Amino acid sequence: MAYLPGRRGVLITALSALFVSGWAGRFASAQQPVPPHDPRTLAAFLDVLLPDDGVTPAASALGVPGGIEDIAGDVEPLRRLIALACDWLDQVADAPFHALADADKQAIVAWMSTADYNEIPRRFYHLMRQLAVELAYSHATGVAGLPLAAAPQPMGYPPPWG
Amino acid sequence: MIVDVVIVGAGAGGAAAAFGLCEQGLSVLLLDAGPRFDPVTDYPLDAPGWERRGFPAPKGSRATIRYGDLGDLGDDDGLASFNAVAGRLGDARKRIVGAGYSHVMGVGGSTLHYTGEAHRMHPDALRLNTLTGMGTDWPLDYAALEPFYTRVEHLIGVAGPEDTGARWRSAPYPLPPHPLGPAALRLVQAGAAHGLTFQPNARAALSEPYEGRPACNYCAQCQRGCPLGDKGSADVTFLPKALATGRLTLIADAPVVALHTGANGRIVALDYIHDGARTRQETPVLVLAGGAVQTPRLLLAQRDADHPQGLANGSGQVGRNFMETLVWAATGLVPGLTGSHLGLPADAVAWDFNAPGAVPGAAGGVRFTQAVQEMALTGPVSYGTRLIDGFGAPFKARLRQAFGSALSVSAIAEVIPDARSRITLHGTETDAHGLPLPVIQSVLTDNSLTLLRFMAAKGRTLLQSAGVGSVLEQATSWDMFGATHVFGTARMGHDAAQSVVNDTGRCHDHPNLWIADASVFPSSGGGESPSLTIQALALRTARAIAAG
Repeated sequence: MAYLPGRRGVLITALSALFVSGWAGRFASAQQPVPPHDPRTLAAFLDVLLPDDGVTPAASALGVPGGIEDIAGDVEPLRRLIALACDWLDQVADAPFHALADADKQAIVAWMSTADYNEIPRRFYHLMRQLAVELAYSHATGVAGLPLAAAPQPMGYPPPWG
Repeated sequence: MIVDVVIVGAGAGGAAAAFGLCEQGLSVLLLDAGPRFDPVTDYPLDAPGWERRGFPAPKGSRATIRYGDLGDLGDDDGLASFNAVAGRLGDARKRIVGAGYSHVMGVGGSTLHYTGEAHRMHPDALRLNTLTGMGTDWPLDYAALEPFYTRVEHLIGVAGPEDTGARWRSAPYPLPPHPLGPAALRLVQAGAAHGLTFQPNARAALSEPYEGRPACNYCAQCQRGCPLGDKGSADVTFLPKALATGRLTLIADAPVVALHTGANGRIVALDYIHDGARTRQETPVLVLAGGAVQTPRLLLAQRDADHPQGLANGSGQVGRNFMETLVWAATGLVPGLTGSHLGLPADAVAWDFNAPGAVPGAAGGVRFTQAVQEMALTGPVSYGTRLIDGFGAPFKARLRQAFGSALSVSAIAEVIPDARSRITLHGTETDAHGLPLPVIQSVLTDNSLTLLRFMAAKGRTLLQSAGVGSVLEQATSWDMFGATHVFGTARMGHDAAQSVVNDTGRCHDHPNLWIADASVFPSSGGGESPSLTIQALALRTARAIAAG
C-alpha cells in the first residue's frame, strides 16, 4: 500500500475483505436487478481522480460522470460494478463519500489504487480511471496545457519540429 | 453483366489487379464484401474526441474470426506484454488473442487503415531456403519484381530515400523522403552505437503534392484513416485510375458466397449477395484477393465430390503455411525529449538485421522502426491510460510534463511456416450467408522465439541509449496474437504438389483462377510491410492474365 490513510484507512483495510467478498457475490449475480447508485458519489469519486488543478477543470465539470453513465448504459456488468462500488464508497466511512472531507476521499482512493485487482474497489478504480482519462482528455478543454491543437486536422503539425 | 474478369476483394491486391487489367483493355467487375468509406465524414480528425475514435467499423467492414491454438507460453524471458497503468496484459500460461487479425473489409481494404510503409522485399529474402535451409524460396527473384515495384511506387506516390542498400532500383523514388521527426532523430543518434542505421522510411504518403493529391500535413493519424487523401491507400490511387478507364464496375457490400466449377477445372461463375439478393455472375477469369484469411476460407468452403478438399487444393496447401506478424514494441520516457508525437508515423527504419542470416541463431531477418505514432502516443489519452499511473493533481501534472517525451521502437521479423499454423473452417459456426467461419491457428516456433529475444534485447538497449530510464510499455507477439500482416495460405511455387499458384498467381488446379493477395507469399520477409509487394505481384498477375 503506497499510502496509509490513518484511522479511516485502518477501517477500510479491516473491512475491505469482508465487504468485498460479500459484494463480489452480488456482483456475480446477474439475475439480480442492478441497484441504483447515488450520482453524487460517482461524481465525487471521479473528481478525486481528476480534480480541477487550475489548468484543466475537474472531471465533473467536463461531463465525465455523464459520459460514463452513457457508456455503462449498454454494459450491464459495468452498471453493476458502478452501483456496488458506489454503495461500498458510501458505507466505508461514517458519511456518504461525497460528503467526506477531501483528505478522507484522497485516502480512500489511494487505498483503492493499490488494493487487490481482483476485488471490486481496485477494479472499479482502474476502470473508472481509464474511462475518466479517456473522456476528460477528449474534451476540447481537457488538452489545455499540452502542445496540441484541439484536433489533428485540418491543420496537421507541419515541420519544423525543432 | 458480361465482363472479362471478376475480382473478389478491393484491397491492396484486388485494386492493383483491377487497374492493371483495365489499363490493358479488359473489363472488370470488382466485388468487395465491405462498404465504401468517405474519408471526409468517416475519418473525423478535425473534432475534439478524435483520440477516442479508431478507424471506423461500420457493419460489414470486419469479418468474424475464430481463433484456435495460439500456443502455450514457456519461460517469460522478459517478453510479456505490459504497461505502467494496467500491469501485465496477457495470460500467464497461454498466448491469447490481443488485437487479433487487424483488417478492414471495404473498398480499399486494409490499405485504408495501414500506416503506408512501402517496402520492397530484400532480394535475399526471396531465397530464404537456399540461404538458411529453412522456409521456402520464392519462384521468382527480385529482378522479376523490380519493374513492378517501380511502377507501383509511381502509381501511388512513394516518398523514399536515395540510399536503398541491397534493394537496387531501376529508377529513383517519385518523391523525396519525409523529414524525420524528433523521435526518429533521437533513434538515429542512439542507433549508431548499436549497429542500427535508422534512415528515412519509404512511405506511401506524399511529401509533395502529386497527381492532384495534396502533400501530407503530418497529423500522424494514418491508422485512423487519412482524410486528406495523401496516403496512398487503394481507394485514392488504383481504384480512381481504374474507374477512369471506363472498364471497371465496382460493387461494395457484395460478399461472395459460392464459386462454381465447370469443365477442365475452370471456374465458370460465382454467387454474391448484394442488397439482399443473390446474384450469379459468370466469368471467364476469376481473381481472388481477399487476403490470407478470407481467400483460403472461400476456397476451403467450396468442397464437393470433385473437390473434397475445396478448390485449388490438390496440393493440400490451401490454408497451410499461415504466417502472422511477429512483433515486439516498447516505449519509455526520455527526459528532455520534446515533441516526440510530431512527424510521420514510422518515419525511420533500420534494415541492418533484415537479411536472412543477419540475426545470430535464427533464420530470417528483422527490421526496427520508430513507433511513437504507430503506438498511438500522439495524444494525452494514450499517455494517461498506458504510461502515466496515479490520480489527482499530481497525475495531471506528470502527464503534462511527460507528454511529447515518449520514445517507442518496434521490430517486426520473419515467420517460418509451421504445420500447426493454418487457416481452417469452423466445424459448426457460419456467417449470415452460411459460409463457415475461418479459424486462425498460429503458434510461435523456436525460430520465432529466438527472433523475439533478439528484438527485445536490441530494442531495449537502443531505448536505453536514447535516454529511456525504464520501459513503461511492452507489446509482443510472445503472449498476445495481433497481426496486421498475414501471409502464405495459398503459396506460390513451381511444384504443384507443394504450392497453390505459380509464379504469376495462377492456380495449378484451375486454369482461369488467380490469386492476388498475400496468401501467395512463400515467406514473410524479414519484417517488410507487404502492401507494395502485394501490388507489384498483382500488376504482374494482371499482365499475365491479359497475355492469356
